[in-house]
Amino acid sequence: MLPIKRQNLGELEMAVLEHLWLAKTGSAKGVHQNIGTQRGISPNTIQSTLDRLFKKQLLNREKVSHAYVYSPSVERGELMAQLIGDVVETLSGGEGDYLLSAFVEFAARTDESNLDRLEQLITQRRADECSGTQK
Amino acid sequence: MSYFGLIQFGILASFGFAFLAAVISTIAYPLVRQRLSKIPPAPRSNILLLWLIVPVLIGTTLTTLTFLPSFLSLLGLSPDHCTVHDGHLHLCLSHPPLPMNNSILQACLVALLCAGTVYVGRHVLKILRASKMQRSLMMASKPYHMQGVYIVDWDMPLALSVGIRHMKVFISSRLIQVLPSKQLEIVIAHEQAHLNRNDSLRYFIAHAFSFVHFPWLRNNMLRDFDLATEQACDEAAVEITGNRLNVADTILVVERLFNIKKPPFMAMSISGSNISSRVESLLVPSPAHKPVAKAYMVLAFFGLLLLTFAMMEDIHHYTESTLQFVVG
Repeated sequence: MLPIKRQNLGELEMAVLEHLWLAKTGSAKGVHQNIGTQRGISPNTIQSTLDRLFKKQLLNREKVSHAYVYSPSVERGELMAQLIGDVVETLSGGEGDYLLSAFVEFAARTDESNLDRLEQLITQRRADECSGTQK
Repeated sequence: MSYFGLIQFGILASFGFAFLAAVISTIAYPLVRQRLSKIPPAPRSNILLLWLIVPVLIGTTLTTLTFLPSFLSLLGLSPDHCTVHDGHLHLCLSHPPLPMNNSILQACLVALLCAGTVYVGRHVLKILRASKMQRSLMMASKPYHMQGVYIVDWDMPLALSVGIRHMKVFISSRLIQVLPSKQLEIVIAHEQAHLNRNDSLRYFIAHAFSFVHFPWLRNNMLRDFDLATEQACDEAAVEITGNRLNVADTILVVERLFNIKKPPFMAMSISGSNISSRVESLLVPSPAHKPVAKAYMVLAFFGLLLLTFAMMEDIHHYTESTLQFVVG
């Protein structure tokens, strides 16, 4: 199987994919009935979204009589892992990650001996607080 | 009537003022850094943010002031001041100066302008990238039972907030599995403090508009600003969860989890971490801080405004004289 390319997916593209992951296969007409009608989107928009996803290699298609039937070419988990992987890659780059505030820094680590020292300080402080309360 | 010369001199004056502010900062910051570290994190991060953008602020404010006398006379609010010039360069909207003919200075000006634009532009691109990342994470996540918090199915102890206008908190499923609920509450409280403080926007302003500072000073100030911001969020988590030592403990637990599960391709530095400073500051009570009353701040603002108007003519003439000296 081909590796998944770096994807930039819109909300509608994602909704179409979610539908096809559930339904396994679907034609433009069927996808429009399930997603397009409730969103007030024309069948042409759905058709072009399906074409875009096919060109991005996220869908397979097969001609059945006069219409194409589409099916997902990637598993949901694979795509999600790739989306998260992009974020991690950016974070690990260091430069430019200031717009993502992480609880602990991604690209900077504290060594174990320093962590042990800090833990000892916390334990000591807790003991001090306990003895202070008992007095 | 061409305003090209006026624009040229305006930009030159802005850079001149900004450079002067950067030089003063370089001398002053090391002297007050120690004292700054004793201020509680939230006001400290505000002071640092302001200081980081002070050169740009001073550059634009003083240049605006330089043009104010001629702007007021153009509106008919003050008498025409053109007559008081004795032959030197004239920064006037009614009678704009001729463009400068010093080609080296012109080239420097263009280079500075391009560098500034490229620098700010790069940071604007980072906003777009962050919003794309937020979209990716939204797609790969499901809502948690708390407003604005999402769970990402990921095998790393991830907890981060992303976005500029509508920040969202993302917690990895791994973190939810391994952290006790009390510690998870602390992590979420810390991340939500970033949301409430609009920290992404503050980071963007600090990084994008601090380019006039000298690089080593800028890096030090940004590091201090980053630490103050994280400490402010730790303090917010203390306020919500009620125990400083529990917050310190949680930071260590998540850091240890990260050390165990770090992805192999990540290039990580050991020395750059601010964990020690964050934990150590939580082991002592938060420094006492008496906030400045709003009435004093309003008074100071009007005092500054009055002083500005009083000095407007002097700033105007000194700028003209200095520019005359520079361009020859």
